[in-house]
Amino acid sequence: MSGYASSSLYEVWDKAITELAGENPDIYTVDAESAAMVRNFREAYPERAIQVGIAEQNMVGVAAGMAAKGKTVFAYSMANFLTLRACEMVRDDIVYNRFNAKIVGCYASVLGGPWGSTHHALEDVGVMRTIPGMTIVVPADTDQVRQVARAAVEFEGPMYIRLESDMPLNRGETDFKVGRSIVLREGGDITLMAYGAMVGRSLAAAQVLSEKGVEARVVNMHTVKPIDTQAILDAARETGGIATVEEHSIIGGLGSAVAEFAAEEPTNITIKRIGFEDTFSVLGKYEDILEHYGLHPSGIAAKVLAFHDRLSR
Amino acid sequence: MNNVSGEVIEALKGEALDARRFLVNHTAKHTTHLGGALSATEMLTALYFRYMRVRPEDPEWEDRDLFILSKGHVGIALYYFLAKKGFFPLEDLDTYEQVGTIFGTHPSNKIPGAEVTTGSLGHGLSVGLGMAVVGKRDRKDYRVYVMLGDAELQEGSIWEAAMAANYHKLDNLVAIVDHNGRQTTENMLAIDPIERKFESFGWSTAVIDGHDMRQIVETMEALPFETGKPSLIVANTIKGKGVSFLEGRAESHNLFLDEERAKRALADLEASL
Repeated sequence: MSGYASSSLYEVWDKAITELAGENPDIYTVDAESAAMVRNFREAYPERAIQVGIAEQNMVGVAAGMAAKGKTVFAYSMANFLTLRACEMVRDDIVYNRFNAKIVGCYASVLGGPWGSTHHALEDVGVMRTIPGMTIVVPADTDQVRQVARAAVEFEGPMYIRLESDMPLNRGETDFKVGRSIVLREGGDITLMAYGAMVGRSLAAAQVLSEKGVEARVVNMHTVKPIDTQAILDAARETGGIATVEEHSIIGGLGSAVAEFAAEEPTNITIKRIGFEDTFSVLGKYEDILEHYGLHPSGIAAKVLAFHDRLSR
Repeated sequence: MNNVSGEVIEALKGEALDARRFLVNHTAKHTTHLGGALSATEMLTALYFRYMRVRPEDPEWEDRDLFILSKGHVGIALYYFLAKKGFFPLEDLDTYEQVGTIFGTHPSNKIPGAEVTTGSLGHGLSVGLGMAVVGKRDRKDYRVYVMLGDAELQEGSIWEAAMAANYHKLDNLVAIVDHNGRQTTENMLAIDPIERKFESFGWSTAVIDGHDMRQIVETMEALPFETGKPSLIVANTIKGKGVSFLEGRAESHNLFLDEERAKRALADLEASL
């Protein structure tokens, strides 16, 4: 497993958008020094790939203005700069106005690796989640990237798409719909709910758990907002507990979203939030960082096992 | 240059006076950012009574000129001109700042004729830039005007937009700075010389008396100042212009006029005739 994001996921996204732009002349991109993200698009449609330089706040405003004039806009930057530095522009210019602009947060989580915390995004989903009217989707692998790209183009309104690293699920293109989670594995003891690359890792963890006699349901919760509440109710009724797994702080992300909903329902379910525990991440190679925090498949399995043990007592 | 008739100029001045009367009366009912509304009155009058090509019966007309009030706190001034233009009846403004209204202190894109929501300073030029880019790509004729406050220029995002506007050769983009020289505190960070800053960013500029209707019109007739470059108009204005006890006063930024002061203000406006 390479130490950095597989370029294939980003290449696939770029190509998917470029292909869709062939059928739809209103698709435009804007980027803030993220030329690699739109390499294919810019080559195919140079007039529609707008560069603004290292200026994320301006970029988001520009995306809003273009969307106001009827374009379907994709704005690209690293997830942290996009959602934190330009947060107010996202909220006020795009989402409040309900313009048809999608923001694409690249190299989220700790994919910035040795570049350190200034280039890590562990708060992005949480911050975007609190903006009313923002839709948040995280594709789990390259197959899903293609589906998300298509869905994003068809979706009318603001969207945050978080791109992480490629953890292949090798399931081909499952039936994807914004807001509808996908059960990838059945199991009655515990439910693992994840998005992005953690979906693949959760499946791997489920294997380990199975060998230890714990059968896990694994759910791809690709749409963090609006969250699939039925999936949470089902898991609460049909399994023994819910563990959320994300490459994000356990504050504000999927774990919080699931816990918020479950806490208001009379289901008596217990939630375990797995992720970065309110900490800036150490720097290092991506995979090493995940291992350091026990967020690789065996580490996830260990945390889930401990959770399951607590529930059984 | 002198082919705009005196009648046209006088008519515009008359409209500006009407606008000031409205704004003063409004400030006798609501706390209002009156100073910055009065300083922008001539520019807004020229825009909405002469230059903005819009169709009130078709606010989404795709070839329309676009105006963004980036200094959104003087929203009431924009609403007045939109109403006068016919986007909605002036009486609709009776709901100003009440729960459920679309007419808040700052414009929102729910208001017919107001393109985007503003209020947080420093956003408007970027959004206008995006609209101007589409104008070029779609080979449209429309112009995008963005009105900025001078203190607003302290926001860094504006300079990001200024830099990008030149890069994209947006000569369909016009920034107007209402240079009334005051913010809420008496001393303002050294924003001058505004036009030299924009010139260094590749804009073509003009500095005018923002209360001289003839100068305004002659300058607007010359847009864009240079092909391939965005245009900047620095309108030197007086905060609170038209009301003697408010002119140049930081207090005029946001205030309420009691009955006595409102009467005096209206008398000042009549005296200016």
